[in-house]
Formats: sequence, C-alpha cells, structure tokens
Amino acid sequence: MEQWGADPRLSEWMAAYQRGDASAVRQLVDAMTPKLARLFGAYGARPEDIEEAVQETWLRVHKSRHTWRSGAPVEPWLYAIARRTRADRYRRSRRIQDVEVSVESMPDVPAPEPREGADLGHLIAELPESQREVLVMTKVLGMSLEEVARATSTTVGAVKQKAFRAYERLRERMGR
Amino acid sequence: MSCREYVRLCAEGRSGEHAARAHADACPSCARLTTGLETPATEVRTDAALEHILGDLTPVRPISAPAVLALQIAGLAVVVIGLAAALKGTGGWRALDPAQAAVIFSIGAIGLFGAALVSGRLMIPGTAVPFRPGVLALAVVPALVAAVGALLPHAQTGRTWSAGPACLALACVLAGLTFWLVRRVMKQGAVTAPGAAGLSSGILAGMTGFLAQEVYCPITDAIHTSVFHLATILLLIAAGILLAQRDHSPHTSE
Repeated sequence: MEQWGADPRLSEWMAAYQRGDASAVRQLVDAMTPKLARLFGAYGARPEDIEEAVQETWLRVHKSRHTWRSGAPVEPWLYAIARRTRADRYRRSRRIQDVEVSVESMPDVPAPEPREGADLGHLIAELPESQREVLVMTKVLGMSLEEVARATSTTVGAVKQKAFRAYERLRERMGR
Repeated sequence: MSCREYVRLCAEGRSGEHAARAHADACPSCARLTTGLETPATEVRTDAALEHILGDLTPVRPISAPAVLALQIAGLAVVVIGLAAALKGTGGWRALDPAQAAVIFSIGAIGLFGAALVSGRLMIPGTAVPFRPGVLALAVVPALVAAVGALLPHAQTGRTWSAGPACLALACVLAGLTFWLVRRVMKQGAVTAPGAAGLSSGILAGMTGFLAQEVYCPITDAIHTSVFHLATILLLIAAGILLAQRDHSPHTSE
C-alpha cells in the first residue's frame, strides 16, 4: 500500500506555490494528480469523469492556496478540497434543488455492482458512504486516522468509530 | 483475541501489533481486512487546469492561524454584546445575583468560544476540529435550559410575556448581525464542510444574541428567559443549518 504522507517536498512545493513559483506548481500537480485520480476512481467515478474532477480540484486548490499554512500536512488539506469538489459535482449531476445533502454525510453514490466472489474492493464499495470514505482514505491512500480526521474536518474519535463499523461490516460480509 | 477485538485494532490503525498479527495468521477472514486496496491507475491530463493556474500565479499571503481566526470571530461577538450593552444598558446583568450570572454567562461563554474555535478551524481545509458543532449545541443548549430552570425564579411578572417579542426581536437583529459578520470572516478561508460551518456560525450568533439579552434584559424570570432568550439560540441555529443547505446547492457552490 502506498503511503503518501510525510513527503517534505510537498510542503516545500506548496510554500513555493504560495510565493508564485511556477515550477513548484508543476511538481506539485505532477506528484499529486495520480493520487487524486486514484481517489476519485476508488469512489466509483467513471474514468471519463475522473479527469474533470481532478482538474476542477486543482482549480479550487489554486483559489484556496492561501489557506494552506506552513507546517501543516499538505495531503489532508488537498484531500479536503477534493472531497468538497466531489460532493459538489455529485450534487450538480443530480440536479437536486429542493433537498440538499450535507457534505459531512455525503450521499451514497451508486457503487459498482459486486461481482461473484467479491473481493475486498467490491465489498468496500457496498459500504455506506461515510464508512467507505474512511476506508478509501486509509487503505487506498495510506492516510493515518489523524490525517483522515483533518481531511474530513472531524475528530479522530469519529473517524475511529466509522472505521470500526466499516471493518465490522466487512468482516460480517466476508464471513458469509 | 476475538475477531471483534481484532476489528477494533484495525479501526485504530493498530493491525500491525503482535497480538493482532497473531490473530490474522490464524483467521484468514480477518487477515483479508488488512490487505491493501488496489485501484487501477487512470491517466489524467491536467493541461487545462495548469494553464489556468500558471496564467494566474500571483504570490499569496497565507491565512492566519486557526486560533487567531477564532479570536477574530469571538471578538466580533464580544463587540456586538458590548454594542447591545451600550444601547440598552446592563439591567439584565445587574438583576442577576452573582451565582446566577456566573453559571449562565459561563455556559454561554463556553458555547460562544467553542463555536468560535470550531469556526476558525473550519475555515482552513485539512484541519481537524476538537469537537463537532452538533455536539457543542447538544451540550450547551440543554445546560442553559437546566440552568435557567434551576436558578431563575419561576414567578411571572407583568412584563414576562408583553416585553418578550421586542426583547427577542432585538436579540435576533444583534445575532443576525453577528451571523453576517462571522460569515464574512469565514469567507476569507475555504470552508470544505459547509454543514458544520453553518451550524457553528449559527451557534455562535445565537449565543451572542442570548448573552446580549442576559446583559440588557432586566426581566429575569425563568419563563421569559426560556421562551424569549433561549429562542434566539434555537432560531440562529436553524438559520445556520438553512444557510448551510443553501451553500450546498449546486447553484451556489464554488
């Protein structure tokens, strides 16, 4: 499993980005784009939508670049923006106007149909959104519970609770 | 170790501990839980986004620390309460005995500063919050209801009901002003959890209105305070939730 935390270059690039350094932007985008793509893919986005979602995320990152603070981890900051991008794209796609859904309890995006003899990925796809999100962040991106809490603007305790429920449900389904 | 205990260790990111590994070795079902999840790599082009970014690449000044932002937000609330005292006097403060004032203002201040703390952190993506704003509301509002019920006299006065609407209306104006100011400050950041941000700003504004009432309103019976003062908090929390839903709208999202 890939670990994407604690790369000091990300902080250096981000600081240089805030100073207006074009090469730092390119390096940051090159380093993080594949990870963002994997993230949107793990959420069940169609391949043709992944590119759009990633590009939109980068545009939002640019608009919000002043909100990264030196010393703070880059990944949860970036992922929080990606998460909001995903929620907004979902809402736009659904054209929901009368009933809006909280980003903290994002809607259950239709997950891929499980296959016969489903593997772990497909079992995770069947989980409720909030639980799936925690597992995707920890298992796909290798984020720590603290980083997940940061990315989702919640507490570590809440993340642990969701992870516990997710693992419990996975174990039950694997045991069937 | 049972499977349930193993699951708990997994959820806490402790699946690498010796006892957990021993359990996984003996339980294939549990062992599968900790296998990595591979996702297919997708080729993504970012040329368009990069072009836009590089064409608009100006230096920016990093936002202030969350604690500074929280102090700014709390400061706004304190200024509004001071404004209320300047306009309407401090009859409420003077009508309360020291024990009543200590308890009611302490709980209100906890709600106000707690909401400011969360609001400041929610302005910066990737920042964990110490507690969820919903938990804060569920702790502070019942505590205030209990304090008002236990400490304030239950005997009604002639103005318990008659002065209520005007008292509530002024508090709502003050709270609404606070709410608007706090939302302006929060727009300096990049809120990625609009639901929580709406709720926290609603709690903060509601507490500001309530504390202003406690300062200026000389009617201190439990009925008036419960109906017309605590209503300010509930109305502003509702406003915060409604505004958060509007922020979620596809038409108003960034």
